[in-house]
Amino acid sequence: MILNNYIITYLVCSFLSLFVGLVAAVNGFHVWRRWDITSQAEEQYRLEKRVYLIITVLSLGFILRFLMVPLWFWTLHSIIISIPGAMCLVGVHNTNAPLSYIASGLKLVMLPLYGYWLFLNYLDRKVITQPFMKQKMTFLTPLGILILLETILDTSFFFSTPPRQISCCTSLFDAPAKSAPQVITASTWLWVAIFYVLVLFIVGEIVFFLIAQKRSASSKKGRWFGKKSLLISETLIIIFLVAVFVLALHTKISPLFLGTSFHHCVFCLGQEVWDALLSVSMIFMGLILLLIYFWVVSLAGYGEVNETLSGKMVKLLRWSGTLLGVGVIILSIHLLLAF
Amino acid sequence: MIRVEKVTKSYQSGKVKVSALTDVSLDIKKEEMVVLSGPSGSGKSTMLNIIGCLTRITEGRLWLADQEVSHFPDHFLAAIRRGKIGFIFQQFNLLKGYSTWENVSSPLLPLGISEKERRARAMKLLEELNLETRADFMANELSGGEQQRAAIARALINDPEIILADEPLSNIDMGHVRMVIDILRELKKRGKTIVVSSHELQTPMAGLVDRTVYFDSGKILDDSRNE
Repeated sequence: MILNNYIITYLVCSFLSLFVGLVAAVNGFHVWRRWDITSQAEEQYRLEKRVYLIITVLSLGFILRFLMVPLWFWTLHSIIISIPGAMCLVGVHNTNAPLSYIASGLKLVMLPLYGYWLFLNYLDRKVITQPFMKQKMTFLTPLGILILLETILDTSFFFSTPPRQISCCTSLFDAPAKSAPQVITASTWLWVAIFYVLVLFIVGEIVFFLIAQKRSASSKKGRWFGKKSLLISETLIIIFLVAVFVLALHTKISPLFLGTSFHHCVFCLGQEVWDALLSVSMIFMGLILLLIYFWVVSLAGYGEVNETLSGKMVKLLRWSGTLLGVGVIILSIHLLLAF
Repeated sequence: MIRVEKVTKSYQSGKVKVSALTDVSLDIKKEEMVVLSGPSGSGKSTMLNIIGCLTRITEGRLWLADQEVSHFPDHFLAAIRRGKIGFIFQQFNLLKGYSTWENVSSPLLPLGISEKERRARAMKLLEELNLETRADFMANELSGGEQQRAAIARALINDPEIILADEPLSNIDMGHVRMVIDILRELKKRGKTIVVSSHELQTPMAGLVDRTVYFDSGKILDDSRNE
């Protein structure tokens, strides 16, 4: 096992937020069972007091877990020197694959889930009837299970990673395995092109929904509110875009920016090229915010409170568009200069 | 302006349940001045706290300014208390470690108003109540009458529509009683709705009051207009 200050800090934060999350989830279940805005005022007030405690604790817990995502990668970065042969995060991941890759992947999946809960809570508190209370509390159960899984994976990784020698990560990319399809190993502009097409589509969607959302505040309706089909389709589109983006980074952008035709490592890209890290983060955050928008508007009952919340949703779309747009512009400028 | 419909308020202490109010209904119009009268423990202060959204009802409904607030979450009730209601307490409830102007401007703190603006607004009210020379005195350095006037200024800082006063004349001398009554008269002229609780049957405010509601054992025994 490798131990350093970063690992200890990460594990302490992890267990603290897990404990806090589990306590809140148990209380949240109790509230979920008994919440009824039309019930007697005093009983409602008792539940409310419990809710305020749960929300405060969870909000802090989720913000902490949000910050733990960069801390996770920073912690992995800190143990590079303890693993002979590792030159970047790929090497660290390879000491304990696939556990490490699952743990890292789960972190990126959890980000939109934390963001969704925090934003849903923020919106819920803006409406007198708190219409999303049950949804918020219901969401805690799968979220709690995922947080528990994440903590188990992280702890298992740190406690089972020996400081053993591994082969240099570039060997992974210099001679790709015969079973790996050419389309994801060769240096190709294909995925970059598909990425830009999808980005244009997404930007068009953002502009469309921005205008429609603004109009919905005065017309008091929106045909897309409460539609589960929208939630599923948009989630799939965004997941597809993220997958294409990762392939674009891997096949063309990393070799181009790193200046070595065989160096496809995305982690090295983040480590060596600061503006690439910035643009990738902004694109990712922009997509998360857009995902949150679609998840919220497709909630049953959203249409009834749109008049109150429309302004906030417009802001969310603006932020999503701005982050995505600026991220893509920074990436494009570097691409043009590198080309 | 204020409507209380079939309100019951009970307190549970272990296995004992105490009813402070039982099935009480009350309607107070805009710009009315109403006194809630009755012996100690009759429920008048509980009624005042319910109207002021400081206590939740056990059963029944409450309307403030045409809005039913019975089921409002606490953070919405806090906004209503801040914007629509001014409280004058029997024991003044000024913060001892702070000056008079800081006490008066304390309801403005959650609104994010600058210190300069808060002091300016507090000073304006203190001038109206002849307390401007005491603005920088600590709250515990004021006399009883001055503390009550500072408490009234605090109640008025957000220009509320409703003033609730719990036994406002109990802890001050006769000289200051007349001063406070003059202040309440002025507030009535400005169109405020005023609800006062008093255990005195013949309150010195009798000349100002539009209506007296008499409480006993958690119920309204009499609700009569003052001619």
